[in-house]
This record gives sequence, C-alpha cells and structure tokens, in this order.
Amino acid sequence: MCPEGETLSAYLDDELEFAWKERIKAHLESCPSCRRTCDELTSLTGLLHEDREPDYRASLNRLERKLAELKLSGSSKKEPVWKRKVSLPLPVAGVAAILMLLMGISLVMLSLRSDVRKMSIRKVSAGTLEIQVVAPIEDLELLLRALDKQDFAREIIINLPVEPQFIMIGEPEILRETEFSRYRKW
Amino acid sequence: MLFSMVTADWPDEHSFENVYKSLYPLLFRVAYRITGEIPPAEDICNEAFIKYYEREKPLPDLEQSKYWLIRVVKNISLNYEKKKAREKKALRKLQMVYPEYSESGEDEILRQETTGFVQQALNKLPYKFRSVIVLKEYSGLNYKEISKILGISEGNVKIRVFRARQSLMKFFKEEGNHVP
Repeated sequence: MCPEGETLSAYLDDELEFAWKERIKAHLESCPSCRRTCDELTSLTGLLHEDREPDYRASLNRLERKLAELKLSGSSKKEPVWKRKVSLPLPVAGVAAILMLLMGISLVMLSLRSDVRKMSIRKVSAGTLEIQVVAPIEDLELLLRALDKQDFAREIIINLPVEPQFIMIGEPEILRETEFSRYRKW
Repeated sequence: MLFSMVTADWPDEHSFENVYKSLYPLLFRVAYRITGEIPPAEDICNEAFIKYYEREKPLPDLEQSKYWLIRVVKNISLNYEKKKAREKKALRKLQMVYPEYSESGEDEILRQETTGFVQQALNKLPYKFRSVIVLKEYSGLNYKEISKILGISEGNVKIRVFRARQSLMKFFKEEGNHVP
C-alpha cells in the first residue's frame, strides 16, 4: 500500500523517523507512482528556490537611516519604567520631598506607639510562679486564649497600656470577655 | 559608519550589526514571500528589526535571534494580511455601489509584470498554506520550529506543507508545465 502524499513530502523534507524513512525508501524502489510524486515534489522545491529573489539592499539602507535617526533623537531604546528619568519642577519636587519626610516620620511614630499599645497580663499562681503574657491591645481574643491555657491561675492582674486610647468598634469587648468566661473550666 | 553609531550600546559578540547583517536578507525574503510585494515586506522587516533593536538585551545567539525575528515577522505579516483582506472587502462593496470603479487597472498589471511566476503562484495560496510553505522553503526552519512559530501541531504543519505543494504544482501545470 502506498504512503500518503504528506508522508512522501515529509520524507523529502527529512522529517520522518528513521524506521519510517527506511520503509519509504524501500517502497520507493518498487513503486514508480510514488517515485513520480517524489520527483514532482523535488522539482517544485527546486523551482521555488530558482525564483529571482527581491533586492533587499535599498530597504536595508533605509532601515540604517531610520535607526541612525532614532539613535540621534535619543528615542531608539525604550527604557524600562523603573529606569526612566522623571523631571519635576523644583517647587513640586520640594513639596514631594517634604511629604515623603512627613510620611516617614509618621511611620516611625506609629511603630513606636505600637510598643506602648501592648497589654501585659501577669498571672500569679498559688505558688511563686509568675507568667507574663504580652500581646497587642487590639487582639483581646488572643490574650484570653493564652490566659485560658493556664488552668492553675488563681489571680489575674491585667495591666493596661500607659496611655490607653479606646475606640468603640463593634461589639463591646467586656461582653465578649463575659461570653468567653462561660467556657472556662475553673 | 551609520552602524557604529546605532550599535554603540551593544556588546561586540551579540552586536546588533552582526544580527542585522546576517539576518536581514533572510527576513526580507520571508516577508516578501508571505506578502508578495516589496513595500510591505520592507515595512514588516524594518519594524521587526526596530523591535529587536529596542530590546533591553540582545538574545544570546544568532539562532535565537533568527527565531525571534521570524516570529515577529510572521505576526506583523498576519496583521498585514488581515488589513489587506479588509481593504479588499471594502473595495468589493465600493464596486457594488459604483460598478465602474476599478482600482486594479494599470497598477495591477504592473504588479503582475514585476512579480515572478513563483511569487504569483504563492500569492494565490490562502495565507494559512502560504505562511507554512514560505517558512519551510525560505527560512530554513524544520516542522517543529514552524509549528512553534505558528502555534499549530507538527502534524498540521506536515499536512499544510503538502497541501501547499499540491496547489502550487497544480498552478504550475495549468500555467505552463513548469513541473514535470
């Protein structure tokens, strides 16, 4: 049985695996029809390559000139955004610098304040053991849970931050604490 | 001289000049064979090289540069093909309204006279066959590389290459028995 035309075409392009190549080669020796197809395909390839090629030199010269213009105008290469230079008028740059400075200072202040806003809880057990839990004031849940783990505690002293700033957000925390106490196993 | 100006930023081993001089003829040939005309081939080719030049870093070797540039040429050629199809459609509509209007007078005859018979045959192929056979015959790529560039399977490349060859052989036989 003769191979399909595309297989012969791929054979001539040297695109077949070795086993297939050998089979086609053997078949061609005994099949004049497939040999003729191969001859036609080979002639066609020859014809495509014999055709006069267009002259590219004039186009090349025009591209050279275009590239030279791009280079001279300084816009030839696109800089990545992070490398592009930004020019600002002096007053705008000054204002921007001051704003940046203020933002920096407030960030530092905030981080300092976050240390102050820690609630420390001291648990004194029946003996002499003393445990300290320090957690952010915002996370009452965490504090209560940590506290709950210490079953042997009899007395709890809660030290509020030096300068507490309470804001009403959502459910009052004291109710939550009461709710929490119901699950405690004393 | 121009080159020394435009390629000052490129390291010697991957110099733009080297890429440019080595690959321009091939890229131009591919663009011409796909579009069938010199002016769009020049535009497509030049746009591809400018895109390459604008890359932040050159590609590591000539082979990869070639592959990259052919892919760009293929993409721009496809856009050109779509634009041409839209223009043809618009022309047909215009001719329906004004039957006497004809763009293909002297221009078309001149174009045919200056185009070789091989190119005339290629121009008759639908784009999906033309692009494949051009990449196979004029860019030196194998089926696998062509399949990656066109985003189709290798099997599909094999079939399209053969169909394109069949159509070309038919055309040549009808036109004057160029193929035995």
